[in-house]
Amino acid sequence: MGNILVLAEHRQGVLRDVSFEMMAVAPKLADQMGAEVVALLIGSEMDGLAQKMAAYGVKVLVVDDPLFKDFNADKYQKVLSALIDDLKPAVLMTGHTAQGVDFMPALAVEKKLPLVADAVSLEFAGGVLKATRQLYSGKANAVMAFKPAETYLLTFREGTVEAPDASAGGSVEKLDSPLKEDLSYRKFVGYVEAEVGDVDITQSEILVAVGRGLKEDKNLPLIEELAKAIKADIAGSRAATDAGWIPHDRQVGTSGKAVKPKLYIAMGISGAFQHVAGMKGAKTVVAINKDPEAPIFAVADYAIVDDMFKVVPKLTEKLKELKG
Amino acid sequence: MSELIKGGAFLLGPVDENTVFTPEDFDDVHLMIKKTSYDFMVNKVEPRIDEIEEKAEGVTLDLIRQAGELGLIGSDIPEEYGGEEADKITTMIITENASICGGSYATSFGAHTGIGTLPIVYFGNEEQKKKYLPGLASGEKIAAYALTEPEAGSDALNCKTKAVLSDDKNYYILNGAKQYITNAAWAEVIVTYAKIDGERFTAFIVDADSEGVSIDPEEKKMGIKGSSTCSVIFDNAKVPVENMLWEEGKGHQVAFNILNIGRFKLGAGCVGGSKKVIEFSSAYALQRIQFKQPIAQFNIIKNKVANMTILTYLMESLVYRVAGMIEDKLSAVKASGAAASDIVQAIQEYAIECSISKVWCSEAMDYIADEGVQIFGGYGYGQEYPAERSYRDSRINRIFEGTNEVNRMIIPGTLLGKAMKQEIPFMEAVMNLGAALKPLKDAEAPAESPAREEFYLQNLKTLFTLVAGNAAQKFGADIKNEQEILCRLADIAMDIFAAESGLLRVKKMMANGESEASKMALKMTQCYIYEMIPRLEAWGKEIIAATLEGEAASKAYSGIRLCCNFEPADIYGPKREIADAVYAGKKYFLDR
Amino acid sequence: MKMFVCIKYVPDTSEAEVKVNPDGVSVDSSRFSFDINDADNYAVEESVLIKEANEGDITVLSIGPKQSDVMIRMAMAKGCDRAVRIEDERIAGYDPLMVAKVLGGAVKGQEFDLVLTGCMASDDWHMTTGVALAEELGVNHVSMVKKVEILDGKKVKAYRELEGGLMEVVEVELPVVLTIQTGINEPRYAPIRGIREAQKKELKVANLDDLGIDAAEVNADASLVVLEQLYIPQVESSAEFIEGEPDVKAEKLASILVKGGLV
Repeated sequence: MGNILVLAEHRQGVLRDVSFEMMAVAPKLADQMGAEVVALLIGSEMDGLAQKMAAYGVKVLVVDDPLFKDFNADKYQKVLSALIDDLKPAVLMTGHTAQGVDFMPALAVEKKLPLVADAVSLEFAGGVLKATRQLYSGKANAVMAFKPAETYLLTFREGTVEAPDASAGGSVEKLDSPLKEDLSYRKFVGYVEAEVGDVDITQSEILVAVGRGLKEDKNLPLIEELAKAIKADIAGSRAATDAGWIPHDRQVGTSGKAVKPKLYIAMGISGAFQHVAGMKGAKTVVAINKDPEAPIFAVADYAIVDDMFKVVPKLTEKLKELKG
Repeated sequence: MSELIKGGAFLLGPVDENTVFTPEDFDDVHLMIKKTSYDFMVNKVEPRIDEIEEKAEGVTLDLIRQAGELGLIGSDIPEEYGGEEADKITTMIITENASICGGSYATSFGAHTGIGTLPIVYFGNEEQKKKYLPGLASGEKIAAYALTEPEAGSDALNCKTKAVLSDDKNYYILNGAKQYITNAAWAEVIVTYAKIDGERFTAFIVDADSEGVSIDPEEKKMGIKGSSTCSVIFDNAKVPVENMLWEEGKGHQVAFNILNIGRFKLGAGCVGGSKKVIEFSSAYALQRIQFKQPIAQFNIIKNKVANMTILTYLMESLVYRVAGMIEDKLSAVKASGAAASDIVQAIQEYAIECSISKVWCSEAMDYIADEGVQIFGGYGYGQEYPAERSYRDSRINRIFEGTNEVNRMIIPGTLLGKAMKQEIPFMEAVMNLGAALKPLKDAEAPAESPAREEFYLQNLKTLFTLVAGNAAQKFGADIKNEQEILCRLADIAMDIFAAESGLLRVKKMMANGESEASKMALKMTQCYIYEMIPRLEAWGKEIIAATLEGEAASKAYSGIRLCCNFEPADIYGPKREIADAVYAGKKYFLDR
Repeated sequence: MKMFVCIKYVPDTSEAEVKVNPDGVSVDSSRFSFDINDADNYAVEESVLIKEANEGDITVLSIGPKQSDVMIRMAMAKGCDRAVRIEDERIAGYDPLMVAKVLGGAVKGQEFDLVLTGCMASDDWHMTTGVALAEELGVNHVSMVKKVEILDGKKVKAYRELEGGLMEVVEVELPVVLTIQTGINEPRYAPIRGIREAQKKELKVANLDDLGIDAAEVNADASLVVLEQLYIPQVESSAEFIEGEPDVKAEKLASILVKGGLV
C-alpha cells in the first residue's frame, strides 16, 4: 500500500488553512488503509513552510525550486504526474480550492486515475475508498465509491474539519524537481489585490450581512440604520456583491473574506457552504430568513423565520430604545 | 386546419379538444418569450414596485423602454414598422407576465401596447403607421386612449367632444374633455374620438404637445396608484387633417373593436396577477405560525388556496383557448390577404368570448385577491404586504374596458343576434330541446372521468338552451330590457365556457399520457364542475320563474332538474391535494 | 474567434424540497424547475461579448434531454450561432470526467480558439468538467475566470478568482478552455427578435455513435467511480427560533442582543 500524499497549499508565502485541515482527515484515512501520511510542498524557498507542516508529525516532501515561485497549474500537473509515477501513492489529496480545481481534473485525465472532487468526508472499508460529497444546494449527500486504482485522487473541501494539534515525529525531505526547465504554457503575470475599501470586515466586531433577500440597493438604508444603531459594519454574500449592492471587498465567503466578529447578523442569506465558510469564525450568529429550510439556520444561534423587511425596522427601533 | 369555430358556438354542442389551444401547446418560441418576459418582470420591474407606486419620475417610462428593447411592447406591431408581429398567443403570454408586478405597471403597459397602439396598427393608413408605430414599438413614445367623457362612460357614443374643420382646411379643431385617461401624463400620442360638426363620430390621433391640448392633475385612485390617470382637455386643439384615423363617421368601428381586444387581453392580465397572489399567499401561509403550526396546514386555508388555484387554472385555460381561436381566425384572414380592418372584424367574431374573458377573469381575480388578503389576516389589511395592494389594484378590472355589466349584456345579446342572423343554429337547438331532454330521463352518467364531467357539461349546455330559449320566446326583442335575465344567462354561459376550457385542456393533457399535471388538472376541473351544477340549476330556475307560469313553468323546471342531475362527490379531499401541490413549489404549479 | 460554449441544464433546488428516489441513486425531479446552470449563463454572455468585440462564431454544446432545447435556443437567441445537443443514456453523467470525455469527443477534429464553460454546475458542484475537458483536447486552460482580455487575437489574459477576493492574473496562448465564474458580466435577456432568429439556427441532436465516441469509454463501466448512494443529510440546528409576530420577534431579538451584551 502506498502513502497518502497530501499536497499542502500555500500562497504568497503562507500556508492555507486547508493544508492543516487535511492533517486531520488524512491520518484517519491512513489508519483505515494501513498507510502513512506524507505531506508534499511544491514551491520556492520552502524551508519555513516545510517545518510548519512537519510539526503535524508527518514526513514532508519538498520540491523546492525557483521555477515554482508562483503557483502554476501547468507546472504542478507536470510535477505531480512525475511524482505519482515515482512514489505510487495510494491517495493524492489536495484542497478543493482555486488551486486544487485548477490542475486535479487535468491530472486525473492525463493519468487515467479516478477523481472525486469536493469531498467532505472519507472512509476506507472492505478495501473500498468512499468519499461523501454534497449536491443539490447541500440538500443531498452522495457517497462516491472508487473503483480499485493505483492512486485515488481527491480534492477536499476547505473549512469542513478543524485542524488538529501539532504532534512530534515529523521530518523534511527534499526531492529533486522532476521539472528541469519551464515548459509551461501558462505565464503568471501577478496578483491583483482585492480593492481595499474603507472598512476591513475581517476586523469588525459586529457585522450585519445581507444576501439575495435584500432584493435591491434601494433597501440598503434600512440595513444601514440597523448597522448604525449597533455600531456594526455591513457585509454581503456573493449574491449581494455580484449584484453590486455591496462592495466586493465586503464579501464574506470562500471567494471573499473570512470574518470573525463577536456578532454576525445574516439577513436574506440562504447560507450556501461558500458563505458559511467565511463566517463560521463568528461567535454568535443571528439569522433572519423567509425560507425555514435555509441552511443558514443550521449555523445560527438565534433564528427568525420571517421577511427581513418586516423585522428589521422594529429591531432597529427597539435596539435604539434599549441602548438609550 | 379544420373549419373555424364560430363565436358562441360552444354553447350549442360538444367541442373537440383538438380544436382548442392550451398552454401545453406552447412551442419553443412561446416558452422562450415567456421566460424572457417573466425574467424581465421579476428582475427589472419587481425591485422597483415601490418607486412605481410613488410615481417616481421616469421609472415606468424607463421600464417600458427597456421592455421595448427586448421587443416586449411591439408584439402586435408589424415588422416593417419596427414591431415583432407575433401571434396572439405571444401577446397573451407577454400580457400575462406584465401583470405579475402589480396593477400599476400592468395598466401603463396595457394601455400603451393595447388600446393606445392598436387603433393605429389596425386602422391607421400607411403614413400614420410609418410616423407613429416605430416610436410606439420601441417605447420611445407612449400612447394613451381617450374615449371616456364625463357624460359618456358606458354610453360611449354620447360623446360631446366636437371637431370642426379649420378655415384653411388643414386642421380639425377639437373642443371637449376626456376623463380617466390612462397614461395621460406621459403620453405623446393620444388616440381620441370627437364628433365632426357634432354629428359624425370619428377617431383621431392627437400629438399630446399640440396647441390646445392640456392634461389635468392626476386623479386620486383606490388602486393602480402608480399609473397615470388624468383628464385630457381639448381647448381649440389643432389636429392636422391627416391625423384623422380610419374614416369619417366610423369612429365606432375603431372604438368597439379595439375594446374587444382590450377585453381579451385583460383576461390574460388577470391570470398573471392571480398567479402572483397564489405565490405570495402560499409563501406567507407556510411561514406564518399559529397554534404551533404553519397556517398553510389548516384545512380551511388549504381550501382557500385550492379555490384560488382552481380559478387560476380555469382562467388560464380560458384565456389561451380564446387566444387560440382568435389566432386561428387571424391566420385564416391574413392568409387570404385581407386588409387590416378585416382583422378586427375577425376579432369581432369572438366578441362573446372576449367579453367572457373580461368578466369571468376579472371576477375570479377579484375573488383571489380578496382571499389573499384573508390568508394574511390583519397583515393583509396593512400596506406592508402585497395582498393589500393587489386587492385594491384588482378592483378596477371589473370597471374599465367596459363594465362587467355592459359586457354581461353583450354575451347573450350577441348570441341572440347571431341566432337571428342564423350564424349559429341556436333556434334549431331550441326546437330540438324535447329530443335533447328525453334521453336524460334514464341516462346514467359515465363512470369514468373526464367522460363523466363532460356528460354533465353537455347537460348544462342544454340547460342554457332551455332557459335562454324560453326567455327569448317570451320577451322577443324586448329581452334587452330584461337585464337581470340577460346577466344571469351570461353567468351561465361564462361558467360553462370556463369549466369546459379546463375540461378540454385535461382531455388534451391526458391524451399525451397521464401525468402528475393531468391528474391535478382533472381534480381542479371536477371540483369546479361539482360546485357549479347546483349553482346553475338555481340560476336556471330563477330565470324561468321570471319568465313562465303554471304548467309551462313546471315543465321547464323538470327539464332543468334533468339537466342538473348529478352524483355529488367529495371536493374537500381533492382540494387539500391541490393546496399541497401549490405548497411544494410555493406557486401555481402548472407553469413551465 | 471560433468558440464553443458548454452549458448544462440543471434543476433549481435552492427553495425546492429534495427527495431521493427508491433507487437510492437519483432524486425526484418531477417538481423541479430546470434552467441553464448559473455559471454557464455567464459563460454564454462572455462568449457573445467576445464575439461582438472580435467577430466570431459560437457553437453551443450541451448534454441533456429534449426539454433542454429551449435553454439551448435561448443561448442562440442571445447570439450563439449553432448548437449540438448530445443525448445518450449510456453516458455516466454523474462522473464529470466522463462528461468531459464526451464533450471533448464532440469538439475534437474541429478548429477552435476558445472553449468556455461555467466553473461549476449548481447541481453537483464538482468544478471539474472544464479543466478535464482541456486535458482531453490537449489544450491550455484557465479556471474560475472573473475577467478576460483577448490580446492580439492570439493570447488570453485571464483573471482567476482566488479565495479571499484576490485575483491571479495569467496569460495563455490560444486555443484555451476557460471556466467562467459568476459575476464576470451581466447576462442579457434574449430579445424576441433573437428568439425568433434562434429557431432558424441549427440545433443538431447527436448520440455517441453520431459523434464517433465509443460508448464503452464514457459509460458507467468506464467510469472509475461509482455513485453508490444518495441520501438526505440530517440538518441539525441548535438555533433558538424566535417566534411571534414580526414586531414581537424583533423585540425579543433586540432584548436578547442587549441583555446578552452582544451589542
